Amino acid sequence: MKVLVVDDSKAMRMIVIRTLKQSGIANLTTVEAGNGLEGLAMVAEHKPHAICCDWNMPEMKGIDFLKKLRADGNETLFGFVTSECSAEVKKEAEDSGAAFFIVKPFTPNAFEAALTPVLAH
Amino acid sequence: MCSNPLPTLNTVEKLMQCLLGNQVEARNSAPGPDLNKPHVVASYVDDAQAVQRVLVCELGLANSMGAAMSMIPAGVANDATKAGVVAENIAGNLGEVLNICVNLFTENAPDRLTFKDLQVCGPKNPAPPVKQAVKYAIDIPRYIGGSLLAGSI
Repeated sequence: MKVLVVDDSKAMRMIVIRTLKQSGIANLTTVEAGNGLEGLAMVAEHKPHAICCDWNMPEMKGIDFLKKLRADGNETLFGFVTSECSAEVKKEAEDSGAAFFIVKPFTPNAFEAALTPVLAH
Repeated sequence: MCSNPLPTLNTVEKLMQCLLGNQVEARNSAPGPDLNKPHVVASYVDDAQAVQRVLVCELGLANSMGAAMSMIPAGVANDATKAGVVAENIAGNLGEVLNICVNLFTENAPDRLTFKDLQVCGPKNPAPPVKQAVKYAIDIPRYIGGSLLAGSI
């Protein structure tokens, strides 16, 4: 499974990737982007199976990245990994097509719990 | 006006352990950060961009938190602390740590806050006065620890 990890913090991308590995996803490979604009380019080039994306980023926020993907007809599995935890933000994420929402800081168990149900589909 | 409570010791410790490793410990700290020495102030704002909460860390702890996040050697953090600055290659990490620390004030709480910025302060430009505060000491294995204050403005 190829996962695109999008976060403007390189250290956080490393942590997300490490946690993805710890969560036991089979045949995992990862690609990275630093914001939503770079994410769009990476999606076009690498066609990931899933996207783990931060919310607040320069150039293009995560929610705008998701909305652009969906507007372009791209249905890649998409979820947020973010410090945002308000009900309003979660609702906007769901309404825009996000399949999972993981709040930072997170544990490998939290990642697995969020991803396993959506990957099973 | 933000009604979110200040974080408990357990909340702070759990968050720091998630971010920086299971061996991180937090303890109650009576004096809190010494504002006569360099310290870092993180501001958290409401949707109207008014500062509602602050996190004040001793500079040594701030550099250590940023370094520990991606296992930058402690010596780099310590040298920056001696120089009275946040190390350039630690600043991004520290920003992310403090960004995630917004959850100290928002988890299971009614009002949304976001991390606005961090500033290195000192005796001439100290952290703003707070209405209420909780103070903890943070110990990070292999790094210099220090005191942290979470306060309401």
